[in-house]
Amino acid sequence: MTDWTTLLPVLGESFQQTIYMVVITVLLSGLAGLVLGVTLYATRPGNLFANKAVFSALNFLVNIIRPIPFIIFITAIAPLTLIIMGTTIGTTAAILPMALMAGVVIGRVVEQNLVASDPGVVEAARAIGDSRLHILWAVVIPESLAPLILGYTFMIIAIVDMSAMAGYIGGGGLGNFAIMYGYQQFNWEVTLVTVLIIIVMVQAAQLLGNFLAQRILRR
Amino acid sequence: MSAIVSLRGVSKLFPVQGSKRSHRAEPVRAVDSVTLDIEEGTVVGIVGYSGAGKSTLVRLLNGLERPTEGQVFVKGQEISSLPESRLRTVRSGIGMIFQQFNLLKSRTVYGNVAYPLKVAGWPKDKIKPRVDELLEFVGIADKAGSYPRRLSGGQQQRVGIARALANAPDILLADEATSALDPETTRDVLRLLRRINKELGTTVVVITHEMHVVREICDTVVMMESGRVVESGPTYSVFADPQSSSTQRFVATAVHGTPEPDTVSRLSAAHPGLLVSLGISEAAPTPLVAATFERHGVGSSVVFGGVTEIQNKILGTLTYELTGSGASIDAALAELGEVTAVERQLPTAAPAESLAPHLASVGKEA
Repeated sequence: MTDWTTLLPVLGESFQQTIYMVVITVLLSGLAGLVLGVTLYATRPGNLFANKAVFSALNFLVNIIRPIPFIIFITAIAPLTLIIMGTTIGTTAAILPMALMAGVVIGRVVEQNLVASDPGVVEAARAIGDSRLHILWAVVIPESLAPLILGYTFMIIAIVDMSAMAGYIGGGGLGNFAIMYGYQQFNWEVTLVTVLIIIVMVQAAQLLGNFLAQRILRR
Repeated sequence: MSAIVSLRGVSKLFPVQGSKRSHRAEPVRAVDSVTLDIEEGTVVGIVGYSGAGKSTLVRLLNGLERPTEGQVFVKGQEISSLPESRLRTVRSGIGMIFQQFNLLKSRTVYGNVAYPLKVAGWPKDKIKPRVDELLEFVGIADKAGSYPRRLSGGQQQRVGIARALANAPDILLADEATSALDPETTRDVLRLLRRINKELGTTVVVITHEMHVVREICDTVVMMESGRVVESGPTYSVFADPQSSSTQRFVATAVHGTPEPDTVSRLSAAHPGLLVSLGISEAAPTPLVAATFERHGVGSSVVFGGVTEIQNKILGTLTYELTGSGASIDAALAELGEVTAVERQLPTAAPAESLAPHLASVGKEA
């Protein structure tokens, strides 16, 4: 039998840690990824701020970081984490590799959604006499809002996944909990409960994302 | 009248995409040495096949494209060398509408029309009355709260027009603005463009591959082919007397009336007299034709054809069956030949027979 009276407070704490990691990572990477994605889109050949050097450099950076398996990425940038965060262990330390990797991936997701948007609308905005920077902010992003919301929903779920992996190297959270009390103690019940909690979190995020995107698409 | 837009030796070259190793990858001359004046207050049609360079040409007029060579003057100002920030001021004085309307789907009709006003820095309390006025003018005042997706093509184009007119431009550029619309809606939109020209005095530049659009609203026509202007002039003269072969083909799509060879065969089977096709125009209107035949004692009746009106002047082709003596017919036709095109229609060998064996052989191969 599992002793839930002692495990439950630990589970509650782990859940809070996961929420903390996910929320901070989503905020940091979401903003950085938006800037990166919009820059990639805008500097593409033929687009508003076409600039081959900037585009190629950013494109190269994204292509270098994205294929690295996340668990290796965490250890690979540990020296950087130590410099910036002062430690490589714990929930807060886990946020840096998460935010960096998620930021790069979000950048790509944002870029792809914007590239798929209608260039005719941008041309109309230029013909009206709007400035290029204002067009990016007031036309390009709002016109792609629904796919962007779905892209961000996808990334929030990927970040939940990342947070579980961060637990493996001492990041805390639900991943850490499942490994310590489930896997290492051969307690399948604990693993199952943790999985169920993660499924509920992911489902809630997906439902909210679908709801928001649908509201915009219904216009 | 004076020119509101002038092009002087304007060329636009685009680098060829892909095939990096090809040594012969010369840039494409989308617009090639074009010199052109657009008179203030007129409706000008720029016509050509797709790829003739007309869309590039129109984008040179509001600085969306910069010329590789030559100069573009708008209201006397040379715009081809202006920095982007100054070009924005020029652009807000030039409206533009598009084939696919290019409305902001994330904003309502009201939001779309208010957008250029906000960009131009109108005070907030002036924006609403102006938007209402514009929507009233284009006839969709009841749709202010709708999103573009909910509107028909014709309604969307009206929103596009209202948006283009927001800053009271002197020039309106219409890039294939009716090509995505059905014939009836096309007529409504063309009437609206005509009204804008008449009531607001806006110079309208219409890009189109449809000659009937030109016939409906244009005062002058500019015919483009492979980036060059091959012909230009008042609409009626270009229609009545097209010079280049591509203009002739374009005119034939909007002015019907010349019988095809198999039509001639059918007509001559039904009508024993001589069949003659005559160009009907200002120089040779139908009463003049009728009077000429009568004076020479030639009997005439119309058996085929069509006439239309361009810039309130008659134009078309009519095929007559003529009866009477050969000499008097010759004399009448010689006289008419002085003022208009005369073509004797002789039936060719029955075309139906020559087609049959070809079809049979195709059947066997398959």
